Amino acid sequence: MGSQGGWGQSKEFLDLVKSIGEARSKAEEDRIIVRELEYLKRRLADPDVPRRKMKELLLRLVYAEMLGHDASFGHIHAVKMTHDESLPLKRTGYLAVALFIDERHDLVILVVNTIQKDLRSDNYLVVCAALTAASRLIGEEAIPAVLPQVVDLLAHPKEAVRKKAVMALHRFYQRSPSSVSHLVSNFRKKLCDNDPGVMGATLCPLYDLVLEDPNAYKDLVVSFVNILKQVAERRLPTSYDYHQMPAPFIQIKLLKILAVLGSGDKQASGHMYTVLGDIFRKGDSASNIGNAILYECICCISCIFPNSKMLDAAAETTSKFLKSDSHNLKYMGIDALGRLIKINPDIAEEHQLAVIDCLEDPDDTLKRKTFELLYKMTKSTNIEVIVDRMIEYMISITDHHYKAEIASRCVELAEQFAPSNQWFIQTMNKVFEHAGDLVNIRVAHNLMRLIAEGFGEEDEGADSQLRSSAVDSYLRILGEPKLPSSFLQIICWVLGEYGTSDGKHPASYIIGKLCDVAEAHPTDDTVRGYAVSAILKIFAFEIAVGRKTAMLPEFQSLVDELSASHSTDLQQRAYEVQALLGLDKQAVGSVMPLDASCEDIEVDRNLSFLNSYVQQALENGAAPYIPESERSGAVSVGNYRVQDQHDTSAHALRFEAYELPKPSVPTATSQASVYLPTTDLVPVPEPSYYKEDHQIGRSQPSGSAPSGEFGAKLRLDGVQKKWGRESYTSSSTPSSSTSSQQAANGASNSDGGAPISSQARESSYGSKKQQATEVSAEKQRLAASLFGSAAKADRKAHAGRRATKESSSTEKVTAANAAPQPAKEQVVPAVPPPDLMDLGEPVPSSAPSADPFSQLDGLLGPASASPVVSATSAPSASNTPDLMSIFSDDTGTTSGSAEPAVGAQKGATAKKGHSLQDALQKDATARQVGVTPTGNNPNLFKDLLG
Amino acid sequence: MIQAVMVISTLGKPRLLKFYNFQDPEKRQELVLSIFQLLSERPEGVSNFVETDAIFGPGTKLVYKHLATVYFVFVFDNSENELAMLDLVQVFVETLNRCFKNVCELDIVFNFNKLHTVLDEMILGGQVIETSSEEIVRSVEDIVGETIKHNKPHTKVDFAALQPLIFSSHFQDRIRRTLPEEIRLAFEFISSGLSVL
Repeated sequence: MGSQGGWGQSKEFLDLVKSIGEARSKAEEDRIIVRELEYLKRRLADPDVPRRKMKELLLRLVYAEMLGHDASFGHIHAVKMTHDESLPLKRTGYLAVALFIDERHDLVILVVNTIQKDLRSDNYLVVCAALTAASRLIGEEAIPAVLPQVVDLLAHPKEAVRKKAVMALHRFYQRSPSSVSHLVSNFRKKLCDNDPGVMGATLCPLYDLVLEDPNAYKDLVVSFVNILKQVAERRLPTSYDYHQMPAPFIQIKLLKILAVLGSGDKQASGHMYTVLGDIFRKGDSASNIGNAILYECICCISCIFPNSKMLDAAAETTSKFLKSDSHNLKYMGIDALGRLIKINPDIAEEHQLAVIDCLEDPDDTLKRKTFELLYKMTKSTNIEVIVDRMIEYMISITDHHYKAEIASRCVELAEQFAPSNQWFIQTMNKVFEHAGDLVNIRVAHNLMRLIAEGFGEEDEGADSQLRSSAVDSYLRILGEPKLPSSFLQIICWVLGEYGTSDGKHPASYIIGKLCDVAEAHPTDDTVRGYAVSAILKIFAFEIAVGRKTAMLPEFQSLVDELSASHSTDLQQRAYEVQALLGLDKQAVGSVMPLDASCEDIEVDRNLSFLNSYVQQALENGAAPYIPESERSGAVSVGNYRVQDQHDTSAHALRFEAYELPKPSVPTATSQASVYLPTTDLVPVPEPSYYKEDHQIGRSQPSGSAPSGEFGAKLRLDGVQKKWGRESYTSSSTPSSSTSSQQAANGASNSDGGAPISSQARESSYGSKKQQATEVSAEKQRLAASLFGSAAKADRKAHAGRRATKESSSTEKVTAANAAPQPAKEQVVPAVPPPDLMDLGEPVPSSAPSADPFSQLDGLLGPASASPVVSATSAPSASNTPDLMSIFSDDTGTTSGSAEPAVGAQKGATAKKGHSLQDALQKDATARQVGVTPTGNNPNLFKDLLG
Repeated sequence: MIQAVMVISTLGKPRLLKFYNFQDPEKRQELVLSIFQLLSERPEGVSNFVETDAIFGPGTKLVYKHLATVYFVFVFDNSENELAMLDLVQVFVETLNRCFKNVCELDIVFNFNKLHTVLDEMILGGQVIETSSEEIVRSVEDIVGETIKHNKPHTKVDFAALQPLIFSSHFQDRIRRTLPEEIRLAFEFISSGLSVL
């Protein structure tokens, strides 16, 4: 074959290529290559193959690997060939090795020795081959082995070798800066190399070094400027010209380096202006490479200390780019414009039309670049146009990566510059409709929060108008097929919360829509959960205002279906709906107040409503509670089981890990020993105060009203622990489940006399309120940065605190019989103290905790496998069965009302923050201030919902 | 730095792959496929740059040139200048043209090791070290130890792959513009069938 001379391949290779080319299908091609590989395997192992033939076989192997087939059997042969004396064979060996393996491969160690030897060769071509291989194959560990030789080669007489030695050293520096850090000065030296090629190559490592630490190279600014000047003035040999431009790649590299060095440095920038002006003047905008240099000049000018003359020149060149017919130049022009408007936003004005043209261009690259520019120049005055455009484009593309990016940019801009709330909601609707599954779930929660909190400062009318328009738009959008899950969640939540509030839509209509949603997404448990809870809320609101809502057949079937769902979460929700429907108006109104999604939920975290019961039990001769620290492992299995259940409730999937009593004891012990100063629990003189001690720590044993700073300290403790070690986290939910019971009791049975609240506790709330005030300032800023209305968060926080105060004071009223019972401690220590801290936060929702309980029931066996609704009380019941009696005795409707209350809280709170790991932190702070009640413990939901 | 140099035929077959950050063979095929899909969707007469954040990671771009039956693709990060990279493609093609005289796809297929040699003289470790095609040819000749002969492979089947890269794009464009639709389609059908290597 013709092109074989010294290069070409044999007939066999030609045939191989031809047959691959003629292959009708991928399978046929694969068969051909597999056959080829078998042949190669046989031949390569054959010791009698002549060396020249070996070379060809190896190249065929490289070819097969390039087509995606495994050629690992031949790697060793490539390594062997690097040992060959003949240069062509050696080069082929190096080439094949470099293509086959990387520096981490085991075989590299066999090549290092060869490279070492070849670096010392007298033949500079061999040295070059070795340097090329070294830059590819020498990893961090092997660098010391070849480093001395490479450094020696920096002084090699041949410039090609010096150049490659510099690059190899640069490569070593990239791989492992520490192993060549002592040689960095060599790069500076090589900048003065006689050969411009070597000097040019040195600029590559210097650029990296300058990027890392510009200050260390400020002294070189003058040298760089001088070099650039000489190059631009054509002082170099003409052999360095490229398309009549003197050494353009060197110029570009120098301009890049100067841009970094001159950034924010007036003095250094001062040296550069002259040469930059010269380059602009001489600039050749006719050739591609000339434009490349001009563009690099613009970049440099936009980075260094601004100079109005330079900026004018840059703006002028940019407008030339933008007016050009070439798409490439337009692209560069848009990019340059993006850089220049950072310094002077007015520059964009005169190019508006050109920018709009680029936006209409069929070229996707140009379009994206233009959107990037628009993103940079968005202001509150142009946001509507820009975001509309972006959304339009977002809808038209299919590339998920870019879709997600542009969606997040839309959201970011909308949050930053939204002109009106109406517009914000509409924009968000569009974003969610078309890219809902690609945007951060946090955005969905912000939207829900925004709708719930309203926007107008004190203008309820505007808020409700906004909500009703949101409801209208959502009802309309629901007709669309294939809505993203996160958008459906928002829709369900808003419909549940505000669907009937303006009276425009009958409840049955909304419920029907929600049923449709649940039905249309049989596999999306999250959406179904949202839908069912929304239905529950609508029923609750209807009942509360005394309207009778007909049970739609589809709703009935939905509830039936969900009651038997595999998802315990859905089951629970279904049972809650059913339970709620059986309640009277008053009970429903208290468990599910209208438009209360922004209210705090107050929790009696000391289970004080059980105090009288405990005391009664003690009087009847029951054994007093022994804290876990006092107990040995065998004392009470029942207690451990409760502990286990509590632990498990936080992370349902970890049930096995906590089933053994041993692991749970030490944790509980350590916590208890820290927080329980007294071991002798029975004769506590002032138990109601004792509880307070408990909260604020040992430092205040007298139990008088704690000061704010103690409260603050305490709070921090709790928070830290909550987010800190695993053990605390896992135990945090049980408290919230019990506390939600308490809250339920507190809310629905405030007249029942069971809840007990002492003066001390009230004061502890006071301290917490103070705490909340401190946090709220920070919160306001956050809200302001997100939605531009600082006062809102504040307002909500105040409302939340007001609610807190009211609820605690009602409890105080009923707390006349704040009986001092040692037995109270029986209950309290069962909940690990850090949780008590957490309970201070107003929003524990029982949704997550209730679920694992029900799961647990199944695990524990049929005995306690009670219906999900009562599951929350099941653990405590299994421990102290009498608890149930106090529920029924003292609180009248307890088991009836407490449990729906749990559900109600869940309905009110869990919907917002479903399984939002990323919103966790935010929610936590939000809850502290009482801005939004959100679902807690997203971890749990993650476990449950996958 | 330059991340990769690829030559891909217009049918999606890799003709030359060089990655300056090692990629394992499966990943290479994946990258070739996604790049090819990207390029084949691009209409004529648009810019030569594509942002490849989704394929090569944030900040990466590629510049490509469609010549005759192959795409030349250089992938690089934001420490390189797009227009300069475009010229580097030009240098590469010019150098190949000097080595093979009217270089065509067949030359590339049969001499991919030579292409590697040329590239190694241009780019080392992802950095440009030489941009003069004369200089590159000279070093390549030194390495080979002989003056490069301008021989063409003889084959009876493949017309499209024999199209000189430098001129062919004009030729194809002219055919597309001037011939009636049916003939153009026939031409494209034939050339696509024949250019399969």
